[in-house]
Order: sequence, then C-alpha cells, then structure tokens
Amino acid sequence: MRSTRLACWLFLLVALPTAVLAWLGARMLQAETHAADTRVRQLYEARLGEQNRRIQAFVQGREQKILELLVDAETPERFRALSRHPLVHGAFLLGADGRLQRPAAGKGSSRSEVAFAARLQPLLDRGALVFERQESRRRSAPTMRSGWVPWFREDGLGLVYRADLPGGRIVGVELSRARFLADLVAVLPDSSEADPGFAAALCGVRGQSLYQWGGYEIESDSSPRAVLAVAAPLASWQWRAYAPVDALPVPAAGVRNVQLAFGVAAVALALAGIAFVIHREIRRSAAEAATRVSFVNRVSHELKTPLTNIRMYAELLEETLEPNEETTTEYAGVIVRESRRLSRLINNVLSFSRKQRSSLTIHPKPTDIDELIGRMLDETRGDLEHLGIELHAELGFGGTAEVDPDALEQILLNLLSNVEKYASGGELRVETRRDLDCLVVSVHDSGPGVPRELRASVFAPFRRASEQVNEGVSGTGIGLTIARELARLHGGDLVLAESAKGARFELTLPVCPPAHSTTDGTGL
Amino acid sequence: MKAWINATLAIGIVLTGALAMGGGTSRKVTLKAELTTPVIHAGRRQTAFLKVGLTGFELLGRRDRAPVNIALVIDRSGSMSGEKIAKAREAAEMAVRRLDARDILSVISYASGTEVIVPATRLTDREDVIRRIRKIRSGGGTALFAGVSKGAAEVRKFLENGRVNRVILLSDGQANEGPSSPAALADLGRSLGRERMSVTTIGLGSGYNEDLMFDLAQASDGNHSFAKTAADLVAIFDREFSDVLSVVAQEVIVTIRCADGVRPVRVVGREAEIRGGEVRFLLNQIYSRQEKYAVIEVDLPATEAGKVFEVAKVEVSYANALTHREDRLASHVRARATTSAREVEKERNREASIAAVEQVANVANIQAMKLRDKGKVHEAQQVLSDNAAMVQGYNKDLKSDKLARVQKENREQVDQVKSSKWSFFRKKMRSSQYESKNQQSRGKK
Repeated sequence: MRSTRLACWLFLLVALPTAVLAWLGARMLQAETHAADTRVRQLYEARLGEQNRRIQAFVQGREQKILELLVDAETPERFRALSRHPLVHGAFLLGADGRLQRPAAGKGSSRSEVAFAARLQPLLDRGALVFERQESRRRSAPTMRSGWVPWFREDGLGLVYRADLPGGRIVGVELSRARFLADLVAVLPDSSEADPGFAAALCGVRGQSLYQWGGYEIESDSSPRAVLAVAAPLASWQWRAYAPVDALPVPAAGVRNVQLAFGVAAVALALAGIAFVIHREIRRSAAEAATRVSFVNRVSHELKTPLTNIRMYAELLEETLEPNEETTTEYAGVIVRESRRLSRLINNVLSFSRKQRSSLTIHPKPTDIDELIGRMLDETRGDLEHLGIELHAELGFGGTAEVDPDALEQILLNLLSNVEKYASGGELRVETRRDLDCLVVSVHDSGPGVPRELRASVFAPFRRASEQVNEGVSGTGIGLTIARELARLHGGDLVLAESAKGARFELTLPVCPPAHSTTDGTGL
Repeated sequence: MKAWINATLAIGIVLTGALAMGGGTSRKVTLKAELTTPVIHAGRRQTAFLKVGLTGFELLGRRDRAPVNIALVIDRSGSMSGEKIAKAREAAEMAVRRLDARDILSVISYASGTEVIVPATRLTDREDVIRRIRKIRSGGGTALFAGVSKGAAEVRKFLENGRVNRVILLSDGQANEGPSSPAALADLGRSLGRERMSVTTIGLGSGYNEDLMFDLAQASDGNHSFAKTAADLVAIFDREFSDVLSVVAQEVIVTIRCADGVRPVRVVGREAEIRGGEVRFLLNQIYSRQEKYAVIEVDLPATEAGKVFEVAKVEVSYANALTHREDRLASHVRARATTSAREVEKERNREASIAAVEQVANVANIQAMKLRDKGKVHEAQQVLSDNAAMVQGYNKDLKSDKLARVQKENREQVDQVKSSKWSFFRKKMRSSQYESKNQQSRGKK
C-alpha cells in the first residue's frame, strides 16, 4: 500500500515535468515552424513582388502608348490606322449619346470590324464603356479620363482600354490578348542561368500557367510556396512561386519532431534516474528503520523475562518482610513499582511494533469490568498517593463484558501513567458506566490539561506535550497511540473529552446489551 | 533542287551586267492584274475571278540581298530528345553559316521555360553562336507561346526598315505551357505580321499541332512546312533561308478599287479587308523570282456587247528591300463584253484561271478536312471527289501540270481521310494546303 503510493508519487515526479516539457516543446516547435514558413513565404513573395513591379511598369508603359494612339483617333483615316495597329484587336468610337459610331454596321466597315462591333455589344449593353461622371469634371482642369474596362469573357480576360474625347465622345480599343501576353512574357526573366531551386509561374483566370521561368521543373502536383495576385488590371491573374522541398535551410518538421522527442526523452530519463535514486534511498532508510524496530523489539522481549522475575521476587520479598523492617519494605515497594512501570513500557513498545507490522490483535473474553478496574486502581493507588493525587473511583458498570482484559488493563495503565506524569497533585476521578450498549470509562484528572493546540494531535505517535509542560517528564510518546489503537480494535474509541479543568479521557467500548446478560442470569 | 538554284544563280550572274545597264526599272516588282475571263458574256450579271500577281525581281548575285533579322526558336522539350534535337542543332548551325555580319541573329530554346541562348546581335562571331547552339539539350514541357514571344521580342530589338524580320519556329509537339489554341497563336501571328515580322513554322514528326503552326504562319505571312523525319530538317531550313535571303520587297500593301457597279465578293483563301468596293490586303514580303498572288471573286454588272469597261484599279505600294525606297505600282483591269460564248472561252486567261481553280479547290479541300475533323468521313470524301472532278473539268482545257497534281491529291485524299494513319496524312494535307494558300509560285523565268 505504502509502496504503491510511493510509486505513484515517483511516477508523477517523472511524468508531470516530462508532459509539461513535451507540451511546451511542441508549442515552441509549432510556433517556430510557422515562423519559418512565414519567412520562406515572405522571401518568395518578395521575389514575386519584384516581377509584379515589372508587370506594373509594363502595364503603365502600355497605357501610355495606347493613350497616345487614342488621343488623335477621331478622323476616319486615323481611326482605321488605330484598328490596324499591331497591338490592337479592334477599335471603337462612341458618340456623346453613348451609342456606337464606329465601326458602323453596314457600308464602310470590313467584315472583321462588324464582327468586332458584335463582340463589343455586351459591354455597350451594360454601359461599361461610359465612366461615371466625377466631381473633378466640374473643375476647370480639362483632364482626359481614361482607364481599363473590366471584361471577363468566357475565354478569359478581355483587355479593353478607353478614353474620353472632348464633346463627351469616347474612344477605345480591345487589345490583342496574345500580343499583350507575348510582350509581357518578353519583359519577364527567362530560364537561362536560372536558380535551380526556384520557379515562378504566371497563372491566368482559371489557374492555367501562362508563363513560367526558373531552374526548378514544376511538377503537375507541386503546390506553390507562395501566391501573389498580379497588379491591376490583371488582378484576376496570379503569381505562384515553386521550390523544391529542401530549397531553403529550414529543417523539415519531421526532423525537428524527432529532435524534440529526443530532448523530452532525455529529460524523462534524467527524471526517472532521480526518481530511482530517491526510491532506493527511501527503501534503504525504511529497511534500516525496520531493522532498528526489530532490534528494539527483540531487546524488549529479552528484557521482559528478567523483569518479570525481578517483579515477582520483589513482590514476594515485600510480602515476606516483617512489618518492622520499614526501610526494607519501602525499598521493595520501589522495586515493585518501578518494575511494573518498566513492564508497562515494554508492553507498549511491543504493542507499537506489532501495530507497525499490522499484527496487533486482541483476544476478547468475558471479563468483570469493575472488578478488573478496581484491582488495577488498588495496585496504583499507592503510587498516586505517593504523588499527592487523591483517587476517587466510581465503578458503576456492573457486570461482565466481552473485552480483552490485558488490552483494557494496558489502556488504563497508559492513561493512569499519563496522569502520574503530568498531573502532580489534585485529584483523579475514574468512572465506569454503561451508556446504551457501551462501556464508558472516564479518567479525569485535575492537572494542567492538554493545551488547545495539541488536542488534535494528542493521539499521534511520538507526540508529547510541549517542553514547557513536560519539563522533567520522561516517556516514549506512544502510550496514548497504543491505547486508542487497542480501543479501536474492540470496535470502540478513546477520545479526549471536553472538560472545564484538567484532562478527561473517555474510553468507549461496545458491549452486549444488558437485557442479554439478564436473560443469561435468569438462565443460570 | 540545289543544283537548279546554282544554275539559275549562274545565269543571274551572267545577266548582271546586262540588267545593270538596263537601268533601275528591273529592280522593281512586277504587277500583273488579270481577269480569268477578260471577255465576258454580254447582257447579264456574272462572277469572274481577278488574279493580282506580284513577281519579285531578280537579285544580282550572292551578296545582293537585303540584310535579315532572324530569331531561331527551337523546341527542346523532352520529345525532341535523340536524333531530333541533334538534327535541329545541325540545321540551325547550317543556317548560321549562311548568314554574315550584315545580319542579326538570336537563338531561343524552350521547354517548360524559355532560354535566350543568343540575344539579338549582329552576327560577327559565328563560331560563338554555333558553340552555344551545340549546348542545347532536350527535356521538359512545351512552352511554345513563350518561345515565340521571346523570339519576337529579340527580333523587335532591331526592327528597322530594310531588314527582313523573321521568327523561325521549330517544334515537334503540342504546346502545353501557356496559350496553346490555334486562335491565340493566330492572334499573335496577326499582330506580328502587322509589325512586318513573319513567323515561319516547321513541324517535325507527326506529334505537333498542325493547326496551330499553320495558323501562326498564315496570320503572319510566314511559311509553314512539315518535316516528316529529323533528316528532312536540314533541307527545310535550307529552303527557308533561301527564301528569307531572297526577299526583295516588304510591307506590300495591295489595294483594289472596284469600279462602280462591280462588287468584290471575297478574296479566295486569304484574309483581306473588304470595305464597300475597296479590297485591301497586306503581304509581308515578296521573294525574288517568285510570284505572290491573290484571287478576288468579283460580281460584274450586265454590260452591252462590244463595250470595254473598267473593272478595277489595282494599286500596290511596297518597301523595296534593296533600294530602301517605297515603290508604287498601279494597273487598270478592263473587260469587254461579247455575245459569243466561244469567244469568252477562247480569250480565257490560262494562268489566271489555273490560279483561280487552284484556290477554289484549296478552299474546298480545307472544308473537306474540317468535315473529317468533325468525324463526317463520308461528307469529306464527297467534297474531295467533287473537288477532284471540278479540277479535272477545268483542266481539260487548261492542261496544267499543277492542276493535274491538285486533282491527283484530292483523289488520293478520298482514301486518306478514312485511313488509320489520318493524323500523318492530315499534316501532309495541311502542308500542301499551306503551299496553295500561301499563294506563291516559284519563278519559271
């Protein structure tokens, strides 16, 4: 039982810090992995950002160029030249009423121009080509408003750029997408002398790769390390950065998990070592204590036989002495008293050691309680009177009870010995009575009593009243412990009862109900 | 072929003195605008075909040529490994050796990514360029669009007047990185064409996307060839460079103004701008001693017998690649009406008719291929056999070898469309369609 509890505690000593350490380590590892991932991602995003700036510069250049083309596209000749420009898929001119002026359906337009007008119709229908009037229009500065028109077609992103002309007219173009992309590709880096640990892909609306470069061959199932949206007007495109798993010196999570596991295991091992040492020490000291107890036990046993002889012969001597030999009688009395005290002490020690070994037992038999207690009190009366204690006995139990007489005697002797030790002078009142189905023995002295702070622990082994109180008092400190243990073995108890003055111990032992003994008596 | 070129070159050199004495007139492109039927039926509306042909003048020897600005774009994807990439390197090397320090060359290779192996520079150190070409190794995807984009960007660095600007693309596979639809590549080709840049596409083996290569070349007025095996590459490159090095005119703008009452219906097999009675189209270049032509279908008004009337005025402007001047040419096309059907046939222009029949047959041939693509094998076979019969009917009088070949091809294709080797035959068909559609014929002077 004790060793199981010890093992539990030692297990906790190892397991608790290990678990806490493992948890903290895992948390730290997680945070570190996250931080490393973030750093890597930021690094790639920075590389992609560089390309994004290229795209932005390219788009700005394109806007500039288109604007130059748009500004003077009003005459039919110039409008035609605009339609035929290499960058342009088709051109349009809207009147102040927002209706399409060129290309006009019917005569004067080529077939491809008519087809372009039809293609443009959805944009016209939803008024996307006419920009909202802005506040700045009212101001004096005649700024020409221009910009991209978002156009998501089934086959991808339509690149329409338009500008306001004086008089509320609007001119614009749809750029050749292939050409736009081809020129964009031309400004992006190529793969010659590329870093084998990096690849980037420019992806279109549906995530399809439009262009890629870098020394790393992107597998169809590779997932990007970083993703970045392309700047407007190509915001529906995105950049994706790819790299092999070991591209950057960030240890893989698996490796670091193993490292953490090793660390935790090392700590657990160290703790287990410490626990083992502690366990061994405890075991050793327990074994030493057991050896000492068994030594004391054996010694006590060895002492018991000579002491019995000494006591017996001293009592014989006391009885055979002539009454006139007062001094000798007195000496013999001292020998008898002291040897009785010594034998009580030895009994206590033996009982305690049996209790320790859990082999303390009682042997109840019918005993005349009052007769037993009366005889004991008679034997002690001399000693008590010697100490100036006046003994009053009120033995009112009357009858026999199933108790172990030796145990009862030991309990009372311990209580009386306490009185002898602490309550010098005054009176001692010993009562026996029947209370319901119990024998109650009360031992009440008029000494200093038990200090309040000690009342709770008065029955604990090796506990003695404070130095102040027990100055010059000898004792082993196990008497009350043994007494209560014996009472409890009977199924009763020994308690320190409340009292106005002195200490009052109350022993309660269960006995058979009186009706039963009465029936017994009539039967006899 | 080569011997033949050498022979004509020798004649050219012999003639040099005479031509030089003859003055500047022979240093101009020849314009020939003719109706298939210069004499028409009187009293009723009818359609006729107008052939506008431009023939490049002769060059005065090896050194007499316009400087070129070429980007070689070489597919080095995984499928090119082995003999293909080796032959491609060899062909590129051969091409480099045909150029000199007047020319600008760039070399781009592409797989999943692109590499500008030689940025556009004057070709002063040929050996260095060849060394770099020899380092090209295969492996990876096919970023065809990106390769062409980078090539075009290199050419654009030296996009000056007087140079022949060209991107030469070699690929054996399907574009699988970046835009890959024929429409997207045609869009790019059109844009580059407007910038006076042509893209020549060379398809190798039977795995490439011929529509994409065809459209890219067609939209930019470049050439398209089909190399059956890697061994053919050197010859094809050689022919391509012969073409590029014999350009005599660039930025050719042809405008046909139809007279009142005459309505242009279509330009057969060519993209053109038709605005009312005006037809306009561009040619990126005219090669020496080769004729480039267009066939325009026109609707002629009912005319009384014996009347000579103007059908159209053809105007051509171009940049002379050798004199670096803009030349202008003009020609009036007239017709006469008659009541005699025999006279109409008798006066029929043989060359123009051959060209018109070839072009009309080619349009039908393309239509047959599209039907086959949709799985309509029977319809395709019907169109092809009708086409062969149509050509045969015209050729009874015209007796042209070329038309006889066209007829034979169409006949053969009737079986080929249902063959299990259709993917191979389709490339062959596409290639010969391209040759017709390109509307150029090698000189016969």
